[in-house]
Amino acid sequence: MSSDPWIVVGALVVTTFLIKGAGSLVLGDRELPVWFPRFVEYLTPALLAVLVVTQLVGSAGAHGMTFDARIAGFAGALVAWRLKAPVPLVILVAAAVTAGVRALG
Amino acid sequence: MTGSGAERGRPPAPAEARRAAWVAGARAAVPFTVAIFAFGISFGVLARGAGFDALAATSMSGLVFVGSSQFAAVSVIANGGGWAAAAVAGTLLNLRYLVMGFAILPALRGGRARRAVESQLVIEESWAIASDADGRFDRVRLLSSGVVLWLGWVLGTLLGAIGPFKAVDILTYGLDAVSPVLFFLLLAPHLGTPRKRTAALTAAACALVLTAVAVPDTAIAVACLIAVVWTWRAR
Repeated sequence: MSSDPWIVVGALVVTTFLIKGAGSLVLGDRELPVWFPRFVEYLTPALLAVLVVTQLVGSAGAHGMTFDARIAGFAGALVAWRLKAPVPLVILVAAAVTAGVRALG
Repeated sequence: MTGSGAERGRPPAPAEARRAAWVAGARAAVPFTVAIFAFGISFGVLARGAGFDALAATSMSGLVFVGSSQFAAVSVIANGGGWAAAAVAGTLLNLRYLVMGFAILPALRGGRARRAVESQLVIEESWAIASDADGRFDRVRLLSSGVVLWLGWVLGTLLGAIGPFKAVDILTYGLDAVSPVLFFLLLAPHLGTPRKRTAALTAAACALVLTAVAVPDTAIAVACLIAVVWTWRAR
Protein backbone atom coordinates (compact mmCIF):
# COMPACT_ATOMS: atom_id res chain seq x y z
CA MET A 1 0.00 0.00 0.00
CA SER A 2 1.54 3.26 -1.12
CA SER A 3 1.12 6.53 0.74
CA ASP A 4 1.34 8.46 -2.55
CA PRO A 5 -2.41 9.02 -2.91
CA TRP A 6 -2.62 10.93 0.36
CA ILE A 7 0.47 12.99 -0.46
CA VAL A 8 -1.07 13.96 -3.80
CA VAL A 9 -4.36 14.82 -2.12
CA GLY A 10 -2.58 16.96 0.48
CA ALA A 11 -0.39 18.78 -2.05
CA LEU A 12 -3.26 19.47 -4.42
CA VAL A 13 -5.53 20.67 -1.62
CA VAL A 14 -2.93 23.23 -0.54
CA THR A 15 -2.13 24.55 -4.03
CA THR A 16 -5.82 24.71 -5.00
CA PHE A 17 -6.72 26.65 -1.86
CA LEU A 18 -3.95 29.15 -2.50
CA ILE A 19 -4.81 29.58 -6.18
CA LYS A 20 -8.57 29.87 -5.74
CA GLY A 21 -8.16 32.13 -2.72
CA ALA A 22 -5.32 34.19 -4.22
CA GLY A 23 -7.57 37.13 -5.05
CA SER A 24 -8.60 37.63 -1.45
CA LEU A 25 -5.28 36.61 0.09
CA VAL A 26 -3.17 38.90 -2.12
CA LEU A 27 -5.50 41.81 -2.69
CA GLY A 28 -6.97 42.06 0.79
CA ASP A 29 -9.17 45.14 1.03
CA ARG A 30 -7.70 47.01 -1.90
CA GLU A 31 -9.96 47.76 -4.87
CA LEU A 32 -9.55 46.14 -8.28
CA PRO A 33 -8.51 48.50 -11.10
CA VAL A 34 -11.34 50.21 -13.03
CA TRP A 35 -10.68 48.30 -16.26
CA PHE A 36 -11.17 44.96 -14.55
CA PRO A 37 -14.99 44.59 -14.89
CA ARG A 38 -14.68 45.28 -18.64
CA PHE A 39 -11.95 42.64 -18.86
CA VAL A 40 -14.27 40.17 -17.16
CA GLU A 41 -17.07 41.08 -19.60
CA TYR A 42 -14.87 39.78 -22.43
CA LEU A 43 -13.23 37.02 -20.42
CA THR A 44 -16.55 35.29 -19.71
CA PRO A 45 -17.66 34.70 -23.33
CA ALA A 46 -14.09 33.90 -24.42
CA LEU A 47 -13.57 31.35 -21.65
CA LEU A 48 -16.98 29.73 -22.15
CA ALA A 49 -16.44 29.53 -25.93
CA VAL A 50 -13.15 27.74 -25.29
CA LEU A 51 -14.91 25.29 -22.98
CA VAL A 52 -17.63 24.57 -25.56
CA VAL A 53 -15.00 23.73 -28.17
CA THR A 54 -12.66 21.70 -25.96
CA GLN A 55 -15.54 19.72 -24.45
CA LEU A 56 -17.00 19.12 -27.92
CA VAL A 57 -13.96 17.98 -29.92
CA GLY A 58 -11.37 17.26 -27.26
CA SER A 59 -10.92 13.98 -25.43
CA ALA A 60 -8.92 12.98 -22.41
CA GLY A 61 -7.35 9.87 -23.94
CA ALA A 62 -6.51 11.07 -27.45
CA HIS A 63 -4.30 13.77 -28.96
CA GLY A 64 -5.83 16.18 -31.44
CA MET A 65 -9.47 16.59 -32.33
CA THR A 66 -12.04 13.82 -31.98
CA PHE A 67 -15.16 14.07 -34.10
CA ASP A 68 -17.67 11.58 -32.72
CA ALA A 69 -21.36 11.29 -31.83
CA ARG A 70 -21.07 14.34 -29.55
CA ILE A 71 -21.23 16.58 -32.66
CA ALA A 72 -24.64 15.12 -33.59
CA GLY A 73 -25.88 15.52 -30.01
CA PHE A 74 -24.65 19.12 -29.92
CA ALA A 75 -26.35 19.90 -33.25
CA GLY A 76 -29.60 18.36 -31.99
CA ALA A 77 -29.41 20.40 -28.82
CA LEU A 78 -28.81 23.60 -30.81
CA VAL A 79 -31.99 22.94 -32.80
CA ALA A 80 -33.94 22.34 -29.58
CA TRP A 81 -32.48 25.55 -28.13
CA ARG A 82 -33.46 27.56 -31.24
CA LEU A 83 -36.99 26.19 -30.86
CA LYS A 84 -36.92 27.61 -27.31
CA ALA A 85 -37.14 24.22 -25.62
CA PRO A 86 -36.62 24.31 -21.82
CA VAL A 87 -33.09 23.58 -20.58
CA PRO A 88 -33.74 20.02 -19.29
CA LEU A 89 -35.19 19.08 -22.69
CA VAL A 90 -32.19 20.58 -24.52
CA ILE A 91 -29.89 18.47 -22.32
CA LEU A 92 -32.00 15.38 -22.87
CA VAL A 93 -31.86 15.86 -26.65
CA ALA A 94 -28.06 16.20 -26.49
CA ALA A 95 -27.62 12.97 -24.52
CA ALA A 96 -30.27 11.01 -26.42
CA VAL A 97 -29.00 11.93 -29.89
CA THR A 98 -25.41 11.23 -28.87
CA ALA A 99 -26.30 7.87 -27.33
CA GLY A 100 -28.46 6.97 -30.35
CA VAL A 101 -25.83 7.84 -32.95
CA ARG A 102 -23.19 5.98 -30.92
CA ALA A 103 -25.40 2.90 -30.58
CA LEU A 104 -26.03 2.84 -34.34
CA GLY A 105 -22.37 3.40 -35.20
CA MET B 1 -13.85 52.53 10.10
CA THR B 2 -12.81 52.79 6.48
CA GLY B 3 -16.17 51.66 5.14
CA SER B 4 -14.49 49.78 2.33
CA GLY B 5 -16.80 46.85 2.88
CA ALA B 6 -19.88 48.95 2.21
CA GLU B 7 -18.37 50.54 -0.89
CA ARG B 8 -17.56 47.20 -2.41
CA GLY B 9 -20.32 45.74 -4.56
CA ARG B 10 -24.01 46.44 -4.31
CA PRO B 11 -25.94 47.22 -1.13
CA PRO B 12 -27.23 44.10 0.66
CA ALA B 13 -30.36 42.80 -1.04
CA PRO B 14 -33.59 42.43 0.91
CA ALA B 15 -34.23 38.96 2.31
CA GLU B 16 -36.77 38.12 -0.36
CA ALA B 17 -34.50 38.95 -3.28
CA ARG B 18 -31.73 36.98 -1.63
CA ARG B 19 -33.93 33.95 -1.22
CA ALA B 20 -34.88 34.21 -4.90
CA ALA B 21 -31.19 34.30 -5.80
CA TRP B 22 -30.53 31.19 -3.68
CA VAL B 23 -33.27 29.33 -5.54
CA ALA B 24 -32.18 30.66 -8.95
CA GLY B 25 -28.58 29.58 -8.38
CA ALA B 26 -29.46 26.14 -7.09
CA ARG B 27 -31.95 25.55 -9.90
CA ALA B 28 -29.50 26.68 -12.60
CA ALA B 29 -26.94 24.26 -11.17
CA VAL B 30 -29.16 21.15 -11.38
CA PRO B 31 -28.55 20.16 -15.04
CA PHE B 32 -24.81 20.70 -14.54
CA THR B 33 -24.91 18.66 -11.37
CA VAL B 34 -26.31 15.68 -13.26
CA ALA B 35 -23.35 15.87 -15.65
CA ILE B 36 -20.87 16.46 -12.82
CA PHE B 37 -22.32 13.58 -10.81
CA ALA B 38 -21.67 11.24 -13.76
CA PHE B 39 -18.21 12.79 -14.19
CA GLY B 40 -17.61 12.20 -10.47
CA ILE B 41 -18.46 8.53 -10.83
CA SER B 42 -15.89 8.15 -13.59
CA PHE B 43 -13.34 10.00 -11.48
CA GLY B 44 -14.02 7.67 -8.55
CA VAL B 45 -13.52 4.67 -10.83
CA LEU B 46 -10.24 6.09 -12.14
CA ALA B 47 -8.99 6.93 -8.64
CA ARG B 48 -9.81 3.45 -7.36
CA GLY B 49 -7.82 1.99 -10.25
CA ALA B 50 -4.87 4.25 -9.35
CA GLY B 51 -4.72 2.91 -5.78
CA PHE B 52 -6.79 5.60 -4.02
CA ASP B 53 -9.14 4.25 -1.39
CA ALA B 54 -12.67 5.65 -1.23
CA LEU B 55 -11.77 8.03 1.61
CA ALA B 56 -8.78 9.50 -0.24
CA ALA B 57 -10.72 9.91 -3.50
CA THR B 58 -13.74 11.48 -1.81
CA SER B 59 -11.59 13.78 0.36
CA MET B 60 -9.81 14.94 -2.77
CA SER B 61 -13.11 15.77 -4.48
CA GLY B 62 -14.45 17.52 -1.39
CA LEU B 63 -11.37 19.67 -0.80
CA VAL B 64 -10.02 20.27 -4.31
CA PHE B 65 -13.32 20.37 -6.24
CA VAL B 66 -11.71 20.77 -9.68
CA GLY B 67 -12.50 17.84 -11.97
CA SER B 68 -9.88 18.48 -14.64
CA SER B 69 -7.11 19.00 -12.10
CA GLN B 70 -8.00 15.87 -10.13
CA PHE B 71 -8.23 13.79 -13.31
CA ALA B 72 -4.79 15.02 -14.39
CA ALA B 73 -3.19 14.28 -11.01
CA VAL B 74 -4.71 10.82 -10.69
CA SER B 75 -3.89 9.95 -14.31
CA VAL B 76 -0.21 10.66 -13.63
CA ILE B 77 -0.32 8.23 -10.68
CA ALA B 78 -2.26 5.67 -12.76
CA ASN B 79 0.45 5.85 -15.42
CA GLY B 80 3.14 5.14 -12.83
CA GLY B 81 4.29 8.72 -12.21
CA GLY B 82 5.35 10.07 -8.82
CA TRP B 83 3.37 12.24 -6.42
CA ALA B 84 5.33 15.39 -7.30
CA ALA B 85 4.57 15.10 -11.03
CA ALA B 86 0.93 14.39 -10.17
CA ALA B 87 0.68 17.45 -7.94
CA VAL B 88 2.33 19.69 -10.56
CA ALA B 89 -0.01 18.45 -13.32
CA GLY B 90 -3.05 19.08 -11.13
CA THR B 91 -1.82 22.50 -10.06
CA LEU B 92 -1.16 23.68 -13.62
CA LEU B 93 -4.77 22.93 -14.56
CA ASN B 94 -5.87 25.03 -11.59
CA LEU B 95 -4.11 28.19 -12.73
CA ARG B 96 -7.18 29.46 -14.60
CA TYR B 97 -8.83 29.97 -11.21
CA LEU B 98 -6.34 32.74 -10.51
CA VAL B 99 -8.11 34.95 -13.04
CA MET B 100 -11.60 33.69 -12.17
CA GLY B 101 -10.91 34.17 -8.45
CA PHE B 102 -9.85 37.79 -8.96
CA ALA B 103 -12.90 38.38 -11.15
CA ILE B 104 -15.37 37.19 -8.53
CA LEU B 105 -13.67 39.02 -5.66
CA PRO B 106 -15.76 42.23 -5.70
CA ALA B 107 -18.92 40.16 -5.14
CA LEU B 108 -17.65 38.41 -2.02
CA ARG B 109 -18.03 39.75 1.50
CA GLY B 110 -16.34 39.49 4.87
CA GLY B 111 -12.70 39.25 5.84
CA ARG B 112 -9.80 37.88 3.86
CA ALA B 113 -10.12 34.34 5.21
CA ARG B 114 -13.87 34.14 4.64
CA ARG B 115 -13.56 35.41 1.08
CA ALA B 116 -10.74 32.94 0.41
CA VAL B 117 -12.95 30.11 1.66
CA GLU B 118 -15.97 31.28 -0.36
CA SER B 119 -13.70 31.41 -3.42
CA GLN B 120 -13.23 27.65 -3.12
CA LEU B 121 -16.74 27.16 -4.53
CA VAL B 122 -15.63 28.73 -7.80
CA ILE B 123 -15.61 26.32 -10.72
CA GLU B 124 -16.53 27.17 -14.32
CA GLU B 125 -20.20 26.29 -13.81
CA SER B 126 -20.80 28.21 -10.58
CA TRP B 127 -18.72 31.12 -11.88
CA ALA B 128 -20.79 31.33 -15.06
CA ILE B 129 -24.11 30.92 -13.21
CA ALA B 130 -23.13 33.76 -10.87
CA SER B 131 -22.04 36.11 -13.65
CA ASP B 132 -24.22 38.91 -14.96
CA ALA B 133 -23.89 40.29 -18.48
CA ASP B 134 -22.34 43.52 -17.16
CA GLY B 135 -19.26 41.74 -15.82
CA ARG B 136 -20.47 41.66 -12.22
CA PHE B 137 -21.14 38.58 -10.10
CA ASP B 138 -23.84 37.58 -7.65
CA ARG B 139 -22.43 36.12 -4.44
CA VAL B 140 -25.59 34.25 -3.47
CA ARG B 141 -25.90 32.54 -6.87
CA LEU B 142 -22.22 31.55 -6.65
CA LEU B 143 -22.65 29.95 -3.22
CA SER B 144 -25.96 28.19 -3.88
CA SER B 145 -24.96 26.77 -7.27
CA GLY B 146 -21.51 25.93 -5.88
CA VAL B 147 -22.93 23.90 -3.00
CA VAL B 148 -25.29 21.93 -5.27
CA LEU B 149 -22.47 21.19 -7.75
CA TRP B 150 -20.11 20.27 -4.90
CA LEU B 151 -22.60 17.73 -3.52
CA GLY B 152 -22.97 16.13 -6.96
CA TRP B 153 -19.22 15.93 -7.44
CA VAL B 154 -18.48 14.48 -3.99
CA LEU B 155 -21.34 11.96 -4.02
CA GLY B 156 -20.48 10.91 -7.58
CA THR B 157 -16.86 10.33 -6.57
CA LEU B 158 -17.89 8.29 -3.54
CA LEU B 159 -20.22 6.16 -5.64
CA GLY B 160 -17.55 5.60 -8.29
CA ALA B 161 -14.92 4.71 -5.70
CA ILE B 162 -17.06 2.14 -3.87
CA GLY B 163 -19.57 1.04 -6.51
CA PRO B 164 -19.54 -1.46 -9.35
CA PHE B 165 -19.44 1.24 -12.03
CA LYS B 166 -17.35 1.47 -15.15
CA ALA B 167 -16.36 4.81 -16.67
CA VAL B 168 -17.72 3.71 -20.05
CA ASP B 169 -21.33 4.21 -18.89
CA ILE B 170 -20.90 7.91 -19.60
CA LEU B 171 -20.39 7.18 -23.28
CA THR B 172 -23.29 4.72 -23.48
CA TYR B 173 -25.76 7.31 -22.22
CA GLY B 174 -24.32 10.14 -24.29
CA LEU B 175 -23.47 12.12 -21.16
CA ASP B 176 -20.22 13.35 -22.67
CA ALA B 177 -22.29 15.59 -25.01
CA VAL B 178 -23.97 17.26 -22.06
CA SER B 179 -21.12 19.48 -20.91
CA PRO B 180 -20.43 21.27 -24.25
CA VAL B 181 -24.18 21.95 -24.54
CA LEU B 182 -24.35 23.27 -20.98
CA PHE B 183 -21.39 25.55 -21.56
CA PHE B 184 -23.08 26.78 -24.72
CA LEU B 185 -26.23 27.55 -22.74
CA LEU B 186 -24.11 29.50 -20.25
CA LEU B 187 -22.35 31.29 -23.11
CA ALA B 188 -25.51 32.42 -24.94
CA PRO B 189 -26.46 35.26 -22.52
CA HIS B 190 -22.94 36.70 -22.82
CA LEU B 191 -23.15 37.30 -26.59
CA GLY B 192 -25.22 40.49 -26.34
CA THR B 193 -22.83 42.86 -28.12
CA PRO B 194 -20.85 42.50 -31.39
CA ARG B 195 -17.57 42.85 -29.45
CA LYS B 196 -18.49 40.01 -27.08
CA ARG B 197 -19.48 37.86 -30.07
CA THR B 198 -16.15 38.47 -31.83
CA ALA B 199 -14.28 37.72 -28.59
CA ALA B 200 -16.17 34.42 -28.24
CA LEU B 201 -15.71 33.48 -31.91
CA THR B 202 -12.00 34.27 -31.84
CA ALA B 203 -11.57 32.24 -28.66
CA ALA B 204 -13.52 29.32 -30.17
CA ALA B 205 -11.36 29.39 -33.32
CA CYS B 206 -8.17 29.44 -31.24
CA ALA B 207 -9.47 26.57 -29.11
CA LEU B 208 -10.14 24.51 -32.27
CA VAL B 209 -6.59 25.07 -33.52
CA LEU B 210 -5.03 24.38 -30.10
CA THR B 211 -7.08 21.19 -29.70
CA ALA B 212 -6.02 20.10 -33.19
CA VAL B 213 -2.35 20.45 -32.25
CA ALA B 214 -3.03 18.62 -28.97
CA VAL B 215 -2.48 21.44 -26.49
CA PRO B 216 -6.10 22.25 -25.51
CA ASP B 217 -5.11 23.29 -21.98
CA THR B 218 -3.32 26.36 -23.34
CA ALA B 219 -6.63 27.61 -24.79
CA ILE B 220 -7.62 28.93 -21.35
CA ALA B 221 -4.56 31.19 -21.34
CA VAL B 222 -5.39 32.29 -24.89
CA ALA B 223 -8.92 33.21 -23.77
CA CYS B 224 -7.39 35.48 -21.09
CA LEU B 225 -5.16 37.04 -23.75
CA ILE B 226 -8.14 37.64 -26.04
CA ALA B 227 -10.01 39.31 -23.17
CA VAL B 228 -7.01 41.58 -22.55
CA VAL B 229 -6.81 42.59 -26.22
CA TRP B 230 -10.57 43.23 -26.45
CA THR B 231 -10.50 45.26 -23.23
CA TRP B 232 -7.64 47.34 -24.60
CA ARG B 233 -9.42 47.90 -27.96
CA ALA B 234 -12.63 48.96 -26.20
CA ARG B 235 -11.01 51.85 -24.30
